[in-house]
Amino acid sequence: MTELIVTLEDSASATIIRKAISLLKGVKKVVAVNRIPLSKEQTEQLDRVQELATLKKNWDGEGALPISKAVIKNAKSIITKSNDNVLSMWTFFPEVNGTILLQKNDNSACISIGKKSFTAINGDEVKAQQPFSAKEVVSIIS
Amino acid sequence: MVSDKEYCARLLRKIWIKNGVIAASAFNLRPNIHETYISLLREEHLSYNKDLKSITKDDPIIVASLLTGNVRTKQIYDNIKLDIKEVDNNRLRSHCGLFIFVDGKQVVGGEPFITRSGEPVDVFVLQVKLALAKMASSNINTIQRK
Repeated sequence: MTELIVTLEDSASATIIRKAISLLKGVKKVVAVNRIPLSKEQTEQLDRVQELATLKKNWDGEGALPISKAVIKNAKSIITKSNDNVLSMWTFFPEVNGTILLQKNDNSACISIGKKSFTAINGDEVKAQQPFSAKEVVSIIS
Repeated sequence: MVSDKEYCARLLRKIWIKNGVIAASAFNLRPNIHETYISLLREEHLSYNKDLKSITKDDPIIVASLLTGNVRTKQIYDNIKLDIKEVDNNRLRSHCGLFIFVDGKQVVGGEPFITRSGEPVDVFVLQVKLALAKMASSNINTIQRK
């Protein structure tokens, strides 16, 4: 099955376009998805994570690994689930083993985001390695 | 012997600084070579500038300065001690190392606190790295190559 995704800037024409596409030969189903637009902070943080995704092997000149795709996906899911006030207090940094560090700007907390798990320190609160959950991480940073 | 009053510099990659925040990940014991200390350069050593320019092509060069006495007296957990000591290096005369000890035993990159590919950093290591980043955050220096 092949999917065709059409993005509309203006929803006013959505009904007509949807009807027109459904009349095309071979079209089985037309699904409309309403997406909430990203905020400025979310966009900036996603750009930062995308910057980390472009780091090549040996990006630190000392054998660092590129950031894992699974880690990038995890970081992005944290961003899309967080609000601007929270996100603006945190910064994403690369780790040499291909993971990402989400560090609070006042240095009071940080989260290490792995492929399948994460660790966290938030003041005196410590979370040893546990399965990755964007929802859980968002609750820690909020 | 590195005196308590000496400042030691950690070379920072640009990606490790954002909005005035220094990444805790800038302070690494590299797991792939089982590194035994975090590399620093003694800022008051005669060969400091020459050494700094020889280890990076960056321009400007960005470093974070750590006061040795502050590192040695930093309280993280009762069983963790940090120290800065000279290391033998014929090429880099100002080279010194930041050593981490837990219960008197020296921590080595990659063991026993696993930081394998894609695995999150151990919380103990995170505490040390974050403490160092916090200490360094007020002392970021930019040095022009010329």
